[in-house]
Amino acid sequence: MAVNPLLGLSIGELGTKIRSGETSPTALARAAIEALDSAGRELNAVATVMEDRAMRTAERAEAELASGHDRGPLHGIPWGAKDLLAAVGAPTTWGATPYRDQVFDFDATVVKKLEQAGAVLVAKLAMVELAGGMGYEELDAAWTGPGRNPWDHDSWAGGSSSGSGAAVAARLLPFAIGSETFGSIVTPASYCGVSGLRPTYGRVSRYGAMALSWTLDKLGPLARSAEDCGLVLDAIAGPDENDPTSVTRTFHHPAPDGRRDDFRFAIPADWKEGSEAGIVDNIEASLETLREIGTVEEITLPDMPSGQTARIIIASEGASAFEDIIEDGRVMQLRAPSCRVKPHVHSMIPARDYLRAMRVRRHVSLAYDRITAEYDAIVGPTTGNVSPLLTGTLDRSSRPTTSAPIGAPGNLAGLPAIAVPNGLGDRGMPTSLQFTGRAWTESRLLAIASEYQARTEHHKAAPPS
Amino acid sequence: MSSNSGNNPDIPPMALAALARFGDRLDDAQREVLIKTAVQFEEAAEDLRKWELTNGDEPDTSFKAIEGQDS
Repeated sequence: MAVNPLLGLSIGELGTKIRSGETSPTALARAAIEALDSAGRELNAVATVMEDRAMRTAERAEAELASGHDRGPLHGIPWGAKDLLAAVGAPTTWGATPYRDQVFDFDATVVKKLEQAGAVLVAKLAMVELAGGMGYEELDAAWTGPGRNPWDHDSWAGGSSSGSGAAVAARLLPFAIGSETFGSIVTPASYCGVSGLRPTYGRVSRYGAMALSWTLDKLGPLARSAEDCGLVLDAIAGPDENDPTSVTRTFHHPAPDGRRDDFRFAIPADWKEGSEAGIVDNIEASLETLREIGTVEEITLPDMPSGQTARIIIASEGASAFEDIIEDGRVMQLRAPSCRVKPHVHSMIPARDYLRAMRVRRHVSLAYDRITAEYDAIVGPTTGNVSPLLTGTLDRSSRPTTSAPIGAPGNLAGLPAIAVPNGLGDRGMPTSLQFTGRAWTESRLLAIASEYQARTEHHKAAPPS
Repeated sequence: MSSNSGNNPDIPPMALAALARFGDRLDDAQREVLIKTAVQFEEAAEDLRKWELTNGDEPDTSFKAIEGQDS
């Protein structure tokens, strides 16, 4: 079944067509449901299609617009939620067999906020089981099967927000929400060739989202462009009494006085290490584009044990979050053989090691706050490789987000980052440019990424049909 | 391996603890993976121990007392 090409448009373009009567919220919801039920399932990108809820919400959105009640740019736009967000009307499986029948009777705050903005939730999207927190090595680590990449169905969509990346890239949805503890938004964005925004820790409420690592989990959008990521973040950002780590800082997109040039960029001196040749070529081309809107300086990043620190924190917090299934043995129902074993070790990490990691983390955060304060963004490849073939495994010694220059410290310090497509590399698969900024500078990162996308066409490239 | 693992000095304490608690649900191949995983975490922890900390270095956690209603 052919996918309705309207689903490949940006949020702004769809909004114009909805308001001109060229399409409607119900027509878009119906198109998205059909696309997800066919092409989405071929990609293993779908956990549950929420037809009843979607059509009810779309009908309401349509009636509101007809009566002159316009909720803004997301009104009537279909979207998908990573299946770790609680939502009434569908199971919330966390990608894992032990939770296949789990049902919540409330909406996660992000779901609620998007509904208040008029967006139409159409589906729960597939994900790596338990967001990858059990240390998966196998690329089919989800009850939905391996997340297939729309650019090549024999390649991986990335993890852990695999369905979010694949559904947006395949033009089945204009945007989706993913989560990132350690690379889970930017990696599928990179592999699938879409824009993905990891907000500052605390910018978006985590209430109703599966907890893997309380001090590292973030929720953010994957979308067609940086502009669309900004529109979505505008709807979901803000304080929430149900999440004490959410902050009251305001975020508005577009920023009222957003700077458009004269940016200062830094790139780590060793950024080419571990990167494929096609990725190096594309980043060098991207740097030329960035020099049109600013300066690029090479810097040397501090030698800190960021990867090891993150690893100990995620394993320790994850073992606590999932203590019940480790203790009662349901962890043995997980799909990935590695995930059936490693949590037993995670649960034995001494408190001393966890606390040391959290003490070292403070040093990492302070060091990277000093670095990011000097520049508008640290740039580099989002991942050092293009999407791997599904026949492979995840080599933990060269994990994509750790090979990216600032992946581990960026997550430890809770820094925002945006990944945007910057060309095609090996096997014709997408490559990605990442901008990481100081905490709370999403507006600047979005302005930079939007300027980059105004000068390039990579974000408009669609997978071969 | 399971019967002798408690005497093997090459097996990290984390692995011994995990095997003692959960070993009966794991086969030999899984026990090998478990030990390898524990070695990796021991190495990661060792890397962190090389990072000099002072007594004043607090963990990067923020605890906030719940603002309950006055009684």
